[in-house]
Amino acid sequence: MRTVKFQADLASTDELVLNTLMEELEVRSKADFLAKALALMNWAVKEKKRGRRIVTIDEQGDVLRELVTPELERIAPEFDLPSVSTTWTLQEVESFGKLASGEKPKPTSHLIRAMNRR
Amino acid sequence: MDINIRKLESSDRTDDFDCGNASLNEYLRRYALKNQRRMFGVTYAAVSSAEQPSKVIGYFTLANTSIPRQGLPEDMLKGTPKYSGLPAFLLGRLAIDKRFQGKGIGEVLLSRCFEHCLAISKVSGARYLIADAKPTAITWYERYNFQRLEGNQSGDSVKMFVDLAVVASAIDHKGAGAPVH
Repeated sequence: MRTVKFQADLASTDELVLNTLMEELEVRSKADFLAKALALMNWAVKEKKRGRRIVTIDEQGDVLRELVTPELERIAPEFDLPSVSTTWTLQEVESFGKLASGEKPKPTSHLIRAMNRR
Repeated sequence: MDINIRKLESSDRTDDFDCGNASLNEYLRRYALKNQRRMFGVTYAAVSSAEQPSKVIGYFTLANTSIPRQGLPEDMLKGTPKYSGLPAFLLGRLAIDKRFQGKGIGEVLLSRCFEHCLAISKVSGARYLIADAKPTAITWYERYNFQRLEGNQSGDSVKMFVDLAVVASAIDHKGAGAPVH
């Protein structure tokens, strides 16, 4: 398998967390740890893309906490993109035709102010 | 407060943005960057440059759309290219965080939106800017020459439009301007 070199600067507190986690997980190298962390993050992203929530549950099956991070919240479910209605009813088109082909309105004082802001 | 308007960036803070409308909040938080990367709509954010990372306090999304020819009066279509629709811009969304509403940020965003539309229309044809306005925002849009269209059947939004020729005529306009109702 082809490998790539990866270098990162870590805060000393994060290094402490990293070493503790490596010990707890019995992971021998930082490269191995990074690969496992990537796999975990990749799984989280895939679940969010499916519109699912990531939670911890206790022994009784009750939800204790939900994993919410700004980054994961940005993952949009792929099946549920919000839409702005761009379809036109015939009445809307006719209404547009009437207004747009009529006399051009004078710019309002608000529009003039907006367009001359410096 | 220093406000900067620019394209939305991945480092911008959007997690606590609250304009009072859940779908507009969610669009900013989860979909705006995604659509921007896919080139389906560009979101411009008003950010407070005093905070790092920049906190989004308002935004608008701009895309392209078209107005169907069928149903338009013959006089209006005379001499226009035989495209299936008249090219136009779509102001997909415009929202201001509740904590910053009533401070004129909406006008600043709309002004920037108009500037982009006018600049783009010089290199690619589009004459009108369309907005799907929430009923509570109709009066606000009307202040800036948007006209509401009759015939919407969904009830949760109203289609409005403004002629960019009218917007262009407002630049360096001398005089008081038409009264706002």
